[in-house]
Amino acid sequence: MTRRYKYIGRSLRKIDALAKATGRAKYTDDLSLPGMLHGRLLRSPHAYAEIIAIDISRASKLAGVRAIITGDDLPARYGIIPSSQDESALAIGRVRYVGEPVAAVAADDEETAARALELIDVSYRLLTPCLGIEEAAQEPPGPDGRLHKAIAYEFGEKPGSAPALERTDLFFYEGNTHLALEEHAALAVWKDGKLTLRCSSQTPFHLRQIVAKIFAMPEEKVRVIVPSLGGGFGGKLDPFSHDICAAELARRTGRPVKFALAREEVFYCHRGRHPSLMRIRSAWAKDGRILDLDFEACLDGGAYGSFGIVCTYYHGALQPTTYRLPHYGFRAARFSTNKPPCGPKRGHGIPQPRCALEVHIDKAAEQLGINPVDLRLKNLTTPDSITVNMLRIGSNGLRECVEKVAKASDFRRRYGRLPHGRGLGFALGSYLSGAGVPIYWNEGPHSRIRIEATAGGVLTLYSGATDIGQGSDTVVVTVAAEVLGISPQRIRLVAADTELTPLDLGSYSSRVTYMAGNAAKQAAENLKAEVSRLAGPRLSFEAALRIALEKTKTLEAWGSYTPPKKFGTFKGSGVGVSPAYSFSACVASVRCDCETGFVRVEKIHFAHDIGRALNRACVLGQIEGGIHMGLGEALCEEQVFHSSGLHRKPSLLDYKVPGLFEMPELDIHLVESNDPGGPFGAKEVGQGPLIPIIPAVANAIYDAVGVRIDSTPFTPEKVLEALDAKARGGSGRLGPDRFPEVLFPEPIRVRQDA
Amino acid sequence: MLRLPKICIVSPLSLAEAARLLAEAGPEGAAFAGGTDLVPKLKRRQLRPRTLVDLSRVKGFSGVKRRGDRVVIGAGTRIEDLLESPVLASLTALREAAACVATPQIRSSATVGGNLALDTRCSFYDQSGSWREASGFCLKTDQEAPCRAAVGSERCFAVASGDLQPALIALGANVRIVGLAGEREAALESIYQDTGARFLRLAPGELIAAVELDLSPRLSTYRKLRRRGSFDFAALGVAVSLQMKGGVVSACRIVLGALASSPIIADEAAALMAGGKPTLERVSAAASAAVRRARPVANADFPAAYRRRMAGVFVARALRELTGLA
Repeated sequence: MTRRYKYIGRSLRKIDALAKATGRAKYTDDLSLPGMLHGRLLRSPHAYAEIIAIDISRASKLAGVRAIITGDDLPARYGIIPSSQDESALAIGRVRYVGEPVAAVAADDEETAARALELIDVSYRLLTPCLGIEEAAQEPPGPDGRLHKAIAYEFGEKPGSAPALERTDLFFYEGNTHLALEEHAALAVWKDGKLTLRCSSQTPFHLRQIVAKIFAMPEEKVRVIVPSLGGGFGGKLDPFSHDICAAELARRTGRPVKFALAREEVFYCHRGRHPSLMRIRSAWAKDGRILDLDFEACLDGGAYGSFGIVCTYYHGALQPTTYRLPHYGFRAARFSTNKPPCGPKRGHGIPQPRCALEVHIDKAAEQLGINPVDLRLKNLTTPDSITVNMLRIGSNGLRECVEKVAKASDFRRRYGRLPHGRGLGFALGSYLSGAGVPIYWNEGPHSRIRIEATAGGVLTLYSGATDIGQGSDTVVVTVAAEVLGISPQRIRLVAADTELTPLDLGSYSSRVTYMAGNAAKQAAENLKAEVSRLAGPRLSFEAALRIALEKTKTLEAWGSYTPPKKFGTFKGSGVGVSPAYSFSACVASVRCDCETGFVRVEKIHFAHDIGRALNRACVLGQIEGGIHMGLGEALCEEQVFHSSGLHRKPSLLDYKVPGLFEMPELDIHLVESNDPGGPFGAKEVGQGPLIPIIPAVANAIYDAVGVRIDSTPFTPEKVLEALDAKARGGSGRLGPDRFPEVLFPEPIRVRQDA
Repeated sequence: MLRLPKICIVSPLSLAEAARLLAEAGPEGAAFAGGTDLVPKLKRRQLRPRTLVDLSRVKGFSGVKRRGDRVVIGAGTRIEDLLESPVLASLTALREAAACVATPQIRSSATVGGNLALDTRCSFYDQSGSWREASGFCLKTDQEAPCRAAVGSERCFAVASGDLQPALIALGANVRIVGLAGEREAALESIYQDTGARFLRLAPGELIAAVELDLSPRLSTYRKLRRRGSFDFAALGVAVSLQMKGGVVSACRIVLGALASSPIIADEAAALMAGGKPTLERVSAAASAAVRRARPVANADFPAAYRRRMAGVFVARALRELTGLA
């Protein structure tokens, strides 16, 4: 690591660490205002039903109830994506999943609000719910059909040479949820025609825009503030019923209204990982070069659009960032079902296809007789290259990542040679450092930062980015401190307040370090230049600042970041575009108990191309967290439902997230490829590290006991079932054996020379 | 966030007074010791008692005391304290069972009596009120309603999943029970019955005061099936105790937990071990006999068939470990 930096690269304590560790940090649910009312949502008990009537008369008479609203009171349709405006704050006409909000109450206390919900009479006419991909794909197409979005692409040219190997595989990736520690909450104040909404949102600026539209008021009349936020992982990106109902109830009552969801309700908010059924076909040359890849997916979207369209595109976007593909076909369809809406969870739409692909390649490697690591190495992308789907890759430390984990795990020597029950699995992955194209298309900057110097040399940095626990506040402050050559503690921070801070698109797509980091760097550089222009160049920054402030009293400097223009021009070419890609490689070492089917992940070797680690401890923390979440998806987490559409396990006890005992020994390597566009060379680490974990575990199980569990999670009961089947002379593969007939559109053909 | 309802708490100083208060409160009352199972149930409004009889101030309710070759464990003893007690060091099954109850935080509050009287669990019962309304209420709390886990069943199949139950039964524990009529002693297994809605055979007001067991040397072990290494309730618990004399199994007890509404004493399996030299054939026969007694329904984590099969695997492993077979 370079030593020329004072703060960059060190393991500095997060700026909010003490406040959070000592309980001083205030989360939305910690806040209370004079005269505040408590809101609760009545949720649908049915997965699919028509609302015949809602009678609130009994509930309205309950002492302490201040207001009750239903769907007709908030008729505006909205959605986070401009092309999916299909949600309403409270169900109108129909309910589409168990847990969908139907009415909202504001009362003097929570107990009264809860009692009022019991007194609201809703009559429903039940409809037959659709709960899975197979069912949804069978329903006739049309405006009332279940097909939400279908896309098809064909990239590149088929090579002329005949393949030595062709194979087709199916894989099912089960849905799962974010499980952020903090349950969602919102506190609305409506005063003098102005709404102030404090809430647990990863995207305060998008929320401001959407709420303003819903209430038909100018954006400057809406202020969104994000207090301390206890984890997002994509689960707090969408505008939610409780946000909008808090606002409407505050408007009606003239009093502050707070909603604080229970854990069960968070499972109904969901927006988590899409269940996805995938089919991959590939063709290989004898020497291990990929000649052709064809990928199809059916996504189970749940009841509403959310980020689903983006997720559908992401299913095909990043396979080519790790492997050179001469020809690549991609088709995907998203279906609407009667379950809580799926959306973006850490990795967005990328972990499912990556898992299917890395397992598929492992199978091909066995058939080709080439070590899985070496097979990948023959096909890796290179720095400064253009992928078959027109993504521009700059820095690329993937090869180094692969070699690092292969060496650390002694993979080439040990793979396939461990005693029965023990195995190694290899996989790699890649992710964006921020989406290159915004959700709401415009040519403006994606992040802006303002630094202000006032009397006494007080430095305040204004950042619109939301720290969701990932440490983005620490990043912007550290970057500015490095540029100015002063301690990060010298800089005060004002963040995530749409009235006080400049615009930032939000904490998603792993964009904040790269984009807000660059904006902070530029703002600090501008401030430094201005100070030295006023005070002369040879002084220290602190000395110069004093002189400059004597002259001007206040100073301010701005920085912004706008990503480079995308390279592709075809429809849909905006998805997957990023100014820089992170790369990861992973070797999982597992032990399987053949009598119980239990899989114990004993060790994870992990290498991540971070560009440059701005804060080493934070980077390692993100990788460890990603590994933990990946292991949950691999081994035990599933968002599953009864045939009635009722969630099977909406609690922290029953939804099985791994605990400390499930965490393996970790061996983490950072690869610093020094991205030319990143702040001090940095790239993302928030999402990428989760991605290769799941296929690495799948591949390790195969190496250990010779069974292929081609559906997540890889539970003991599935492993045992596969072992039984193998013992009876079967293949030992457990997974889907059918892919539905889907009428995909004619593919959009894209050739590199075009 | 879920909040507690308003509730009246009374804190008696003796068990006799506690029994009287509980009997007075009837179905509207509940005993409150560690609270680790009760408080979440109150928050979810699964139970709606109006009075909690707090046992924290009852004298002599907790502690582990040796009396000659016997030991008395107060029902109010914290589960974590079982792990610290040198008196219990030889009772491996009890220590192992105690060590895998929930989490260290919960064990530091949860009590022995609470674990023995732990409300039976079911994936259709341990849910919020609105969830159960959506699912339809069930036999566990509503005699008119059907069983949701075993459709068509006449009785409730909610599972007795306290880890200490099978361990203490395997070790031959007795319980002292205090009630309106005074004190009585009973074999621990006799307080359970295999119906989930009323799994405890205790009269109104009756409370478990203490557990008593002898310290005679024997081998024992407890194994727990759960998805994670901590926190989870048992999907199966297997406790085995046995005594060896001259290479022969002189006595054996095998108890299966978390498969039915009461712990299952697998006599036939134990009988196959007792009186002979331990061999792999005997172990395997005993394991099969244990599986025959296991008839779980799909109302806990893991498929029922998997839990049943694991009963055999766990019994065999426990027996092999205790008898020194590889």
